[in-house]
Amino acid sequence: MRKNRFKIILIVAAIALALYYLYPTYQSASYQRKLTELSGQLKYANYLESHPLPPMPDSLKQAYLDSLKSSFSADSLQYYDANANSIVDAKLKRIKLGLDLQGGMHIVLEVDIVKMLDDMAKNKDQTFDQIMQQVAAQSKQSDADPLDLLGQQFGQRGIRLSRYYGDIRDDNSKVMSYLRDETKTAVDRAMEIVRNRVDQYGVSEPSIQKQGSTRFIVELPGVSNESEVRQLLQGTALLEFKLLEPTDVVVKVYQAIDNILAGKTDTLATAADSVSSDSSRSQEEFAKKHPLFTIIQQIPNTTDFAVFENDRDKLNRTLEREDVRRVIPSDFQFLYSAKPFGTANGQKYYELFAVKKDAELTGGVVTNAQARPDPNTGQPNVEMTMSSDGAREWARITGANIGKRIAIVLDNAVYSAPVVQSKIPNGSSQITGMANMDEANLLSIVLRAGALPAPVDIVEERNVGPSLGEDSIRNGVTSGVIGLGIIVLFMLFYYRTGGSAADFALLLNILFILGVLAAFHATLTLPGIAGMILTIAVAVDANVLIYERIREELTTGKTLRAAIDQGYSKAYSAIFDANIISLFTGAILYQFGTGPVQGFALTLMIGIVASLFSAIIITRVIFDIMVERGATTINFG
Amino acid sequence: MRFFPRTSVDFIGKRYIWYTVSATLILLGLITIAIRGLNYGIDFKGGTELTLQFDPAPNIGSIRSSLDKIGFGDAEIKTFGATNQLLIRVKATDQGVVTGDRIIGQLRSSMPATQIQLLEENKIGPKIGQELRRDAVLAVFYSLIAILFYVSIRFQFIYALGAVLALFHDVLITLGAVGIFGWLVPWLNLEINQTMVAAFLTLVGYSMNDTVVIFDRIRENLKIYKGENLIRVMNRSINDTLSRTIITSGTAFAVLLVLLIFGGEVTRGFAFSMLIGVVTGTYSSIYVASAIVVDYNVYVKKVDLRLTQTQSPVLEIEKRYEVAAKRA
Repeated sequence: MRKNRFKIILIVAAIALALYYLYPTYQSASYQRKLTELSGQLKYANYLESHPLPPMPDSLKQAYLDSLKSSFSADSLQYYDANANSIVDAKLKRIKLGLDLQGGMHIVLEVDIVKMLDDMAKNKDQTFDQIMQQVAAQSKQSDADPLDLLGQQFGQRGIRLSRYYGDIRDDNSKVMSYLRDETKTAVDRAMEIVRNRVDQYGVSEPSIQKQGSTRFIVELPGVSNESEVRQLLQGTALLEFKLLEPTDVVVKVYQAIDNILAGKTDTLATAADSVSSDSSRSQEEFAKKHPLFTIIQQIPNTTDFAVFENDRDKLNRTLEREDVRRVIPSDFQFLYSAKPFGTANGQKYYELFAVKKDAELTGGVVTNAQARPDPNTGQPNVEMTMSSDGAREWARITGANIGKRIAIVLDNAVYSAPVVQSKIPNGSSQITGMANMDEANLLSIVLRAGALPAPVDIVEERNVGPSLGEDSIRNGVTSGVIGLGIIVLFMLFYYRTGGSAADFALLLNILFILGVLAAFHATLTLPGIAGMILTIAVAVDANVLIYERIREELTTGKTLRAAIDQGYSKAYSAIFDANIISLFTGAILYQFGTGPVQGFALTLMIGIVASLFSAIIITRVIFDIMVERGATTINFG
Repeated sequence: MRFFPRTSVDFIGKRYIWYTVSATLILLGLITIAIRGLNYGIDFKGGTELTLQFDPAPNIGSIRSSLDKIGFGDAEIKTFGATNQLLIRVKATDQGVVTGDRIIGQLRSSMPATQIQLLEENKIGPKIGQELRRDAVLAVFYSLIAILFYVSIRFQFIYALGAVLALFHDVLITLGAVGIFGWLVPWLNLEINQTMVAAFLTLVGYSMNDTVVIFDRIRENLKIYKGENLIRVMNRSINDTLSRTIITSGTAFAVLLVLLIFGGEVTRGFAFSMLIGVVTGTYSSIYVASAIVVDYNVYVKKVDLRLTQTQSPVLEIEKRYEVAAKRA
């Protein structure tokens, strides 16, 4: 007993530790069960079965049902409040389930460095645009750093970077290191802002990790509303306040464009040939004469124009034409409304705005944004407050432009373009035009969290529905239990007493693996469960090696004690070498795999170490104790 | 009880027959892959993949024609698990992440009476697919290097080379089996994805495990019988460890079979490859890893390993006990 004292202490300590780390998982599961029980979903359903609804107008029905439901769930709320700390604590410390098991979204975002480099440049000209096009094309093909690609392009053409970036006197390496710093900060800031947005969105246990130099992974357990999440993560949230161009100028510009498209040269002479007088003629003739005004149409009784959804592409291309661009004043920018303005002939149409290119004010000054219904109309509304500097500036802008319209532009879409009624001194402003309160909430979150320094692209998106996860857990547990059963029975049958010791060690092994997973706050994935099942299968290998050796030694006529000693020591080198190599491959897999595969590699590695401990140390102690108690034979089958 | 009491099988003597068998199997697999190609999963191909559950079960033809209307006529559609679950996969498009929404929207509007539930959705950009492919190849490559290095230190270089060739053999045979079964048994849904790569690395680890156990016994026996004929020592070592080999691969096989049957769609490819891998990993320890060490001695180092008339190809067990007793 004495020589094994240390080992026994070690084993007991390991069991105690495993149980200590696993307790929160157990606790969390029982809290969940209790809460579901108390939440009264079942009782509520039963009650509805047996109690028909009292007669009431349809409009009141929903409210009645809601109040009924909440009266049944009151118990669970009370229970939650009473145990809130301990529930949250247990939840934090339990073994987490991977997205593949509990459902949720896994998104990989990539910061668009090319676009950012483009935005950062000054004095842009045609050469620069060409370079940027090359860089964009190349970076789509390879995963080289866009900044390096940019440097190469400049090098090939023999142009100094300082022509577009930094100070004119800076040499290339200085500009490069400046750009590198900027892009690196941009990725970190983008990640911070996305984290901020996700936190405010209210996902439980989100995870955001950097991957490589320009990407980060966002994991949102239990979330399945794809479009909302996409908006939350991707929206650059660049908020701008832009003055609308005066209506008369805008109409003149449109007519000038129309004339160019129609092939007329005497641009201004026919400008008087107004749009409305043409309406009597046949459509085809009108289309030929006024190409632009067949794409954009005046909204009746206003001075605003609108475009059908499908025509937006066509219009964008038209406005890009070299000859058209010449008649558009250089401070003009055309933007669409964020939401369709209405529907006609079964097609949505969007309002077209002509605004001044330079923003009067940007979203950087916004300090807070709150979504609430408009007190007068009940329409969803986001109210913003500004910093004191911003408020002063806003007061000046509104004061100087009374009677004019200011467009509130978010990510290049116009949310509203109200007329300035009076000077706004307190820095308050509103965004309207959201479809519902959910959308207003989302917008306010995005505004509060701030603008992304560069656009981000979704390069990978995985979405697992909750029912698939439940199936996966069931399948994993079923195969695990059956597999374990087969092995336990086989070992017992084949190695008798030795087998029962191995089985005992195997069960402790499972406890250890789970305990270590919990201690690492690791995530259990489906491949992880598969890894655990495989570990169980291979864990007995060490015992098989040892027992076969002991049998051999016993046939040479050694005493039981000597045979056990020899069996363990001779099997040791094979066990050691074999498991070291398995550990290697596990580590490499962990390094190169992503998500669920990493979970697999982790369980595999933990399993190897745990099974070595249980197969070598635990079974040995059991046999030693048996021998010390006077056993002269142990049945190894 | 024991399944294999004191066997004396001449494994190494029959190695040339098994070389032929291995070469045939590998060729068969490679030819199938060359003709039919491997079925790459979404991880490596990129694109959008939806797993949808329909109620009632849908007609694949009508789904295809419905998707054709929005330009996804070339979509890959197959049942996934239950008959009312379909996997729809389309190539990467410029539309990026909204592709999935468009497909679901189109199906919902064209089949208003059918309940459609999204089980899983994966969208992988083309660049990511490329990177995952590269990482997978690198992972297998690095693990082979690590093994080569470690076994060279613990044994000898020729043993390490034998072991690594055995791993190549296992990976090729398993890959071939995935190709052949993926073609002949389509409902297995075998495709090369990240989980499959994990399976390949795991089988590399497993096969290595098995090889090392035999090598370890060879190392030990070579120390005991200095100057004995290598073939005789190897045969003895393989026979000594045979019982363990069969039991361990047997338990692993049984458990993987359970996983293949009960584990569901997601782990099926993993269980299948590992199942093949366990069999070939066990076999290759003897007929590739060990056999190559023998043939290296015969053909490169020109060691005369021919047996005399009176020698049995396998070292007698009794003799070993004598030697062991003498040494002790």
